[in-house]
Amino acid sequence: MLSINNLVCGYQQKEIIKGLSFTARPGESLGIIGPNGSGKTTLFRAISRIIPAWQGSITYQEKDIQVISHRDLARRIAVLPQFLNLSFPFLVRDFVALGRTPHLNRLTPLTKEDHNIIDSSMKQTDTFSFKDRRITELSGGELQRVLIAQALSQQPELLLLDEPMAHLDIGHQVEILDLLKKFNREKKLTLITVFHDLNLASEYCDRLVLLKDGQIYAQGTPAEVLTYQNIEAVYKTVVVVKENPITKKPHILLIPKDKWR
Amino acid sequence: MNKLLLFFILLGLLVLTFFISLAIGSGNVPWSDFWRILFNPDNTDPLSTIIWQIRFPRLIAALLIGAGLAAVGCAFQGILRNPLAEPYTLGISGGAALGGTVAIIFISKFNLPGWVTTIGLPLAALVGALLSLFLVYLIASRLYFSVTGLILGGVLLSFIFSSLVLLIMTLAQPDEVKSTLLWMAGNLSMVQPDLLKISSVFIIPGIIILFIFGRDLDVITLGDEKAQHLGIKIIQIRQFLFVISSLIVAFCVANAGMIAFVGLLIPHLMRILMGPKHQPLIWGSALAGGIFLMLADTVARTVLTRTSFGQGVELPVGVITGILGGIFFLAFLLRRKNNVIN
Repeated sequence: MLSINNLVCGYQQKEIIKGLSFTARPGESLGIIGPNGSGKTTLFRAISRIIPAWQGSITYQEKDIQVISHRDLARRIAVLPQFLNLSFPFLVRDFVALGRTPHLNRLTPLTKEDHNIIDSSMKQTDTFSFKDRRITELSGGELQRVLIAQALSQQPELLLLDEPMAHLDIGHQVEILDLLKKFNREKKLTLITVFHDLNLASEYCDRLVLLKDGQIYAQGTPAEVLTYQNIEAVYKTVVVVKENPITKKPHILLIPKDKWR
Repeated sequence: MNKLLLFFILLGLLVLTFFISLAIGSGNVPWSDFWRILFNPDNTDPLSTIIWQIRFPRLIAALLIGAGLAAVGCAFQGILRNPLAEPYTLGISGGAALGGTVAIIFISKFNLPGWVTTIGLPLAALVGALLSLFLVYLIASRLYFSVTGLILGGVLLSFIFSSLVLLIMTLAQPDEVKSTLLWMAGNLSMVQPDLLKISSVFIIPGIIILFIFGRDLDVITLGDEKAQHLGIKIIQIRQFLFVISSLIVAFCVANAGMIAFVGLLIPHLMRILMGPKHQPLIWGSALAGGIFLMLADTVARTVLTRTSFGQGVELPVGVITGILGGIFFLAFLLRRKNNVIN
């Protein structure tokens, strides 16, 4: 579906992504992990066409994304960035409706179908009940669900999420990730998610890509990637990897430095 | 509030304000004569001249300029994601005024014919507006587009521009200085019908274009990256909207100098009434801006003439909007202290 071939890119003179390749298959949930500065967000920016590829290419359904128009790309790929400017007090409903932008012309009003899509996106994310509140008044968990509703109303085939769980407590993290998993399973929505928390990545992804200094250090199933050797080499810290007794997925336990032996 | 209802209320208020402002002024026109003249203009009647040659073009100018500045205020606030952005606080009006001053002095120095002013003045104002927009953008981008960075940059630019205007004035003849000063202070009494006609050809389509791009503005408020994720070509559209906005400001300034804070006051009031969505906000602000400036100008031209110490002096409307807008700006800043965004 999305394949990245020998991608090199970065900012100004600084090369951040130093030649990496991987493929996201339709309907899978792919996680991208790696330490700070390993290039996760930069990779995302390249995939969503914010920054250009210097070398190599990114193709979506066999087509180079550089030749797909911004509008067309936005109809296929939705992105939840890490930071968003929310200083204007839009109503939740109007805010979710902005997700329809790539499907609309400037002056055509929303059709009945658009309204149905917007309403069902809100119902699926459990945000319909506060559709008339202002986005500036929402709690972190509510806002994150509204953002997902907006992305869903875009009707994408692929959803890119850059640390959607940052600033959420553990209950809300699970709630958001379960919600995304549901769309992944039921609607075959392909997910590519940047994770900071390795345990969440382990539980919710089919496959993981581990980045180190702008290159892929390991990729495969969580059990293949999240070995203590890989984590210690990439994160420069000592860990113990156990198995979650319920889900059988790897679980990482960290060890404080004074207990290292 | 229901937006369609609000639209008709604003439209009704606009028509009402227009006729009331047409009827009152420094020269006393009795109501009975007013109705007669309104429907039968008569060039030989001095009262008809007052209404149709003096008050009418001035009101049209107030309507156009008020609408234009308010719409541009909405657009700037959206593009820059900054609630305090407007042509005056950003120094765009100041740049246009500097360009205009250079043109006025230059034209009168060389005794150029009237049509040169009609074309040259807005052109020079446009160059000044674009120059200041470019500079304020450059300054703001260095300060990461923070609310304070933008406004501080705008205020500093305004200082520099007004100093340059003073420099030009010092070198000019006294009679040129007086007329330029009156123009710069935000004055609708010197509106030239020819320039006004040309301006309407730019200001009205300009407002319509901003309205058409209302949805883009909604998306742009979410940030550059999110806008691109939603399929908006942010760089091209932002530049385009900046140029359209500057064009509107340039024609507003060319007609009536710097009229402060209309672009700040009106969009804020309308946002409270109709929410932040830009398409309704822009048409609402354009209507309300027109109403506001017609009222403000009617106050400006009558308040001193009706008192004993004024002795026929008319205030520049910029004085009225400056005082009202300044107080509002201050109130906004003080209120913000409690819920700082930046």
